[in-house]
Order: sequence, then structure tokens, then C-alpha cells
Amino acid sequence: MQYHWNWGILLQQPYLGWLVEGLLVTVALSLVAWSIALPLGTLIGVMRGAASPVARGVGGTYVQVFRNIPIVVQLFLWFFVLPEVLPRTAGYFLKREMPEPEFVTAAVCLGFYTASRIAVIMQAGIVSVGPGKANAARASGMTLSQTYRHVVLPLAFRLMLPPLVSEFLTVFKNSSIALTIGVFELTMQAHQIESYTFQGFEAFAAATVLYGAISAGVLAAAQILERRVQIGGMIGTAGARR
Amino acid sequence: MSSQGMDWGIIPQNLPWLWEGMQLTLALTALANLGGMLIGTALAVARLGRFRPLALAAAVYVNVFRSVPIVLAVFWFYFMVPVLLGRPIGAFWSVLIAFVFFEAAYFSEIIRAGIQGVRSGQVAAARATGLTGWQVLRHVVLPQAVRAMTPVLMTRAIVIFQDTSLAVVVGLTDFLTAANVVADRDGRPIEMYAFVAIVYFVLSSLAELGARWSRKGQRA
Amino acid sequence: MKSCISHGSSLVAACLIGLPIFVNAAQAEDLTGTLKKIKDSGAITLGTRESSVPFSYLDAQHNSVGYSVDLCLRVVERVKQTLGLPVLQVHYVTVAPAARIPLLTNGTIDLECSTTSITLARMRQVAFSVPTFVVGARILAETASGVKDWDDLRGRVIGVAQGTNGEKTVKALAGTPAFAGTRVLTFADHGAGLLSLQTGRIDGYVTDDIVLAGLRSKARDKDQLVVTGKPLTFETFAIGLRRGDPDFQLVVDGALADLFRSPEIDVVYEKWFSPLGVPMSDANTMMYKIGGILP
Repeated sequence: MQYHWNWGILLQQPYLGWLVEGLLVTVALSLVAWSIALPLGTLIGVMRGAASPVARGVGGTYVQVFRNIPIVVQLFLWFFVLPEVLPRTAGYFLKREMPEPEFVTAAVCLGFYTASRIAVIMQAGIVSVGPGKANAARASGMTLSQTYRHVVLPLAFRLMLPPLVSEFLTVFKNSSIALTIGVFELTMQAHQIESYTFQGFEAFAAATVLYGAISAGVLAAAQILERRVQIGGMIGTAGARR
Repeated sequence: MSSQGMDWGIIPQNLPWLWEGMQLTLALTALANLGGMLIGTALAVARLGRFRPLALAAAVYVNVFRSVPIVLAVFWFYFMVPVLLGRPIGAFWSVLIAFVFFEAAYFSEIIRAGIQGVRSGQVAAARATGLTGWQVLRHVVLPQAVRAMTPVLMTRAIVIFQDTSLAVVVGLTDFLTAANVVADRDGRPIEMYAFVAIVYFVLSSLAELGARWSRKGQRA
Repeated sequence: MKSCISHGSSLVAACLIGLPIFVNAAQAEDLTGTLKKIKDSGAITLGTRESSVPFSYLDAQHNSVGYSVDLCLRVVERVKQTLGLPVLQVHYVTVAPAARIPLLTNGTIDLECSTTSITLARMRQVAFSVPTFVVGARILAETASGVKDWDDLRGRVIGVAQGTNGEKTVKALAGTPAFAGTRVLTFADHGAGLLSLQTGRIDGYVTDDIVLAGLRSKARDKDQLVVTGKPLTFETFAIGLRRGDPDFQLVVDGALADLFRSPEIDVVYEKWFSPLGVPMSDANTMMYKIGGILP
């Protein structure tokens, strides 16, 4: 079984352009998904620990559903099923009128999926903060939502920084499932290069290096961030580090 | 395609075909778990060992596989394993090898945490009774590590069960791909994907309940 | 040989009997490449497709059937005869378009039996049999959409299958100034493309006219679909095999040439194409005549 090596192909156009485009799409997809997942996940996490049983039920169900269905299946539901069960005009919007339907659908799916994982992390974070500070805030006259916004959540975020960073990295990796609905993210582009030039080893190696670079970049940024938001006097990070 | 009435009947009609796909999913899950655990344990031991080059190699392996998407690993192995082996290899084996090597990196981290959690007093006591390093590992450290990490390992097993659905990217006929074929051929995505989602949900939830129940039993 | 002639008639007889065995043994040792692989394993693997009707697809019982599959089975018969095997196992592997060449070169499949067209780029990696079919790239659209030709697709959404020549052709077309604003979506297989057409995600699905006719004939709403547009490009299909394997090439081409020369090819054509209502085109008629290479 012979293999013809040709590393130079990666530097040729259009293949180099494809790789760059794939990298940009992966980054964009991940960032959009994260911008949905973080607020949504935090909300669900708060609900899971709420006093109201309804809120706990909704939060709990959300996490159960989005955690027990494989992400690819979720994507197929969003992309193939949702537009068909909605009324015609809504379905048409999702399929045609919306800009970049495949990208948006993938970002939304990834966002909702990641939100369920962030919910679990944030709930743990809120528990770690403990009731003491929240009670003090309420006693001094803050409303429930003000307590969460100004006291509990900021602390919870800083305590949960390591698992959140880990989850952020996972989003970049999970973004590759978008290729199943035709989004030309990095893995898809590598696959495309392989199918046009048959230089699979080179193409996939390039993608591997680029994903590694993303990981390294995020971890480096995270270390800086962690140092800056270090909470003096709290043993909070114990147990949260993996 | 107007939303003509749904035809849920295609599910029972295609059940034998879907069941074949599910069998492949289950086989992949079981084998990936087994293989991943074995290689993962070896990697963990290597990383904690005293032979520096091996520890370094294991660390590199784990870090590389943990920074790439599983889809990329599947593509890698699917096309490259036959080239490297110099002989043809079935799609099932390529995908399985991909899963095993990928999951091994994650298992390695779990086992490594478990090993590090075993109190050093245990190791010292074991050595004092005359057991060799390897024997200590096999009979004292690893069993405790695995037992301590059982909840995490079980979670990982369920994750692997769901990850096998990614076989769809290379067209290996697992449960999802089988449903995919019917959805495309009969124009029934709603029924098929809803069915797939429900099945995965039910099976994963049951597995999760089973894991929690066994954990309670352990503590008792 | 000299000894056979110089020593009496009985020895001559013995030599004559022995000679074929000698020659056959030499042939057996001389088997290389795919023929050797088949002889050693007692099996041959055909690469087929899931839904490339009527060339290579899975029927309701999920068996691989089709025009290209039938042609490959003729080749299998010839291989069986050539190798003198009493039994030859046939394995089928369904492949996605993007995977067919790698799977052939890495040995997973021995013959690629679907709708692969001969291109120079592909010939750098694999070899092809004599052409088995001639097609043109056309558009599958819903009659209600009013899409009749390529100009009607300007500024709209066109679907193609990943890793096919149609993808390159359509992407090149979409890149021209006249087609600015035209989107091209790629799909893992034709079934997915048809589904997207039916759900209104794309305005036209582009691939070879015969494949489109097949897709249409199996669709639930076939009366609302039409194969339209002047052929954008012509292509010839052929069976794919590994490069640098002249003995196997000879067996493959020999089987096909004999089939094309005989009236059997009309029967095979009728079997697969009359249900689609596609009479044999002039191009194909000529192709069979040309392909029926004399022994």
C-alpha cells in the first residue's frame, strides 16, 4: 500500500484558503455557540437550585433531555425535523430566508447542548458559594435577582473557571459535528482537501495542528484569566480543578 | 414536501434493519469501552512511572487526542489505518480502532486521577510485605483506583454509547445511520429522527439510573 | 522439451500431459495484485452505493443491486472462471462518494461499482475499465418551482453530492459573475439531496441525468419532480480498480467487452432503465459498440 507524500499541497491555493476558512468557521461557530450557552446554561443552573419546584423541574428536565441525546441526533432534529413541524412560513424562514441556515442551526444546537453542561457546572458553583453571602445580600435589602447578579453568580463564575474553560475547549471540538449538515468548518475542510487531492495524511495533520493551536491558545488565555480573577482567601477552587 | 400525515408505521416496518444498526452501536460501545480502558490504564501507568521517555510519550498522546474532535480522529483512522497496515481493513474495525485510541486518552486521565487518589500508605505497606512494584500495582493500587473512579467510568461509558452515533460521518451502519438511510429513502426524517432521539434518551437514562443504583449499592 | 522429443512416444505423451500442469503451476505462481488477493482470500469485495438508482443502490431488502452491480457481477463470473475457483465469495461494501477512491487504493474494495466517472485526476490514483455508461449533468427540480434550465438557478440554492465531479462543476459555475449570490450546498449522499429538495431547502439538485431519473422514480412525490436543463458537462462512468494491475484489468475489460458485444447488454439495459422510462441514448448505443472490443 503506497502513499505519495506531498506536504507542499497544504501551502497551495485553494487548499490553504480552505484551511484558513475552515479555521475561521470553527472559531466563529464556537464563539456564537458559547455566547448562547453561557447565559442559557447559567439560567438553567440557577433554576435547578431554585426554591420553586417548577423551576427545578424545568431545569432538571432540560439537562436530562440535552444530556441523554447524542449531539449529532440533536443536530438532525434541529436541522431536519424542526423546520418541518413548524408552520410553513416559520419553516421556510429557517430553511431559506435566514442567513447561513446551516451555520446558524449548528450554532444554536451546539449552544443549547453546551448550555446543559454549563448548567451542571454553574449549579455546582452556586452551591460552592454557599448560602452565607446570598443571605447577607438579601438581608441588606437586595432582591433575589440582584443577589444573583451582583453577589452569587460573579463568585460562582470565578470558582468554576477551570471546568468552564474545559467546557469552552469542548465546544471547539464539538463544533466539528456541524459538518454533518454541510458547514465547512475545519474538519470538513480537511476532509474536502483529502477528497480533492487524496493527500489525507497531510490534510488531517494540518487540521490536528490547528485544533491543537486553538487548545493551546485558549489554555494560555485561561491561565492569565485565572490569575487575574483569583479570589483571595477562598479554598473555592478545590474540587473544581480536574 | 407538504406535511402530509406522518407515517409512524415505517418504524415497525424497518425494525429489523434498525435493530441491526443498534447491534453495531452496542458492539462498538462495549468494545470501545473495553479497549479504551485497557489502553487508558496502560497510558496512566506509563505517565506515573519512572521511565521518563515513556511518561513523556504517554503525556503527548493524551494531550493530542484530548485536543482534537472525535470526528477528526474517526476520519484519520478510517482512511489511514489500512494505508499504514499495508492491507485492507473493514470500516467497523477502522472506526472501532479510532474510538479505542481516542477514548483511551480520556480513560487514562480518569485512571490516573484514581491512582493518585490511592493513599501512599497503602503502597508503602504493600511494598513492606514484599510485593514487587508490579504486584502492588495489580493487586493494590489499580483495583482501588478503579473502584474509586467507578462513577466517572460509568459516565464515560454512557458518553461513549452516545459518541458511537458519529459513525454516521463515515457511513458505517450504526443505529443512527440505519435510521438515516430510511429517512432519506422514504422521505420521513421527522418520524425516524424522533424515534432515534427517544431510543437514545431512554437507553441513556436507564444506564444512568443503573449507574446511580449500583453506586448506592457500593456505598452500603 | 528436447528430452520429450528424443525419448520414445510414451515419454512424449507423459510430457504433453505434464506440460499443461507445468504451465498452470507457473500461472498460479505468476498471480499478482488483485487476482492473487482474490485467489488467496477466496473472496472479492465490491464497493457499491446506498442510493444511486439505478446503477448501485440498496433495495428494500438492503441488498446491493443495480446496473453497475450487474456489470461487476459479470466481471466476478469471469474472475471465477479465470482463477478456476469452484466458489467465490462476494462481499459488498456501501461507500460514500468521497470515500470510494481511498477505499479502492487501500484495498478495502476490489472493484468500485457505482457511478464513478473517468477523470485524469482519478487516473493518478486508480485505473478504470472500459466506459460503462455516458451521462450528462442536469438538474432535478420541482415542477412547481419553475426551474427549467441553469439560468433559472441564478441567485438560488443548488445542491450537489460531496466529493463528486458535479460538486466541482457546479461550484465553478456558482463562482462565475452571472451566478453571483448562488449558494451551493453539499450532501453526503443523493438521498439527502432529494430530501432537501423535497423540503424546500434547495431549488435544484445537480448530478448525472440518469442518477436523477432514478432518484425521481423512487421518490414519493415523483409527479412533482422533473429532470431538466441542458447537460452542463458529459461524463463516462466506468468500473474502478487498482492501478498497476494489468492482469486484473484484462479480466475486467474482457468480461465487459464480451458483454457489450453480445445482445445480453440490451437485456441488462432494459432491466434497469426501462422502469425509469429512459430509452438508450445515441451516445450509449455508440459506446457499447465501441466498447465491444474484439477478442
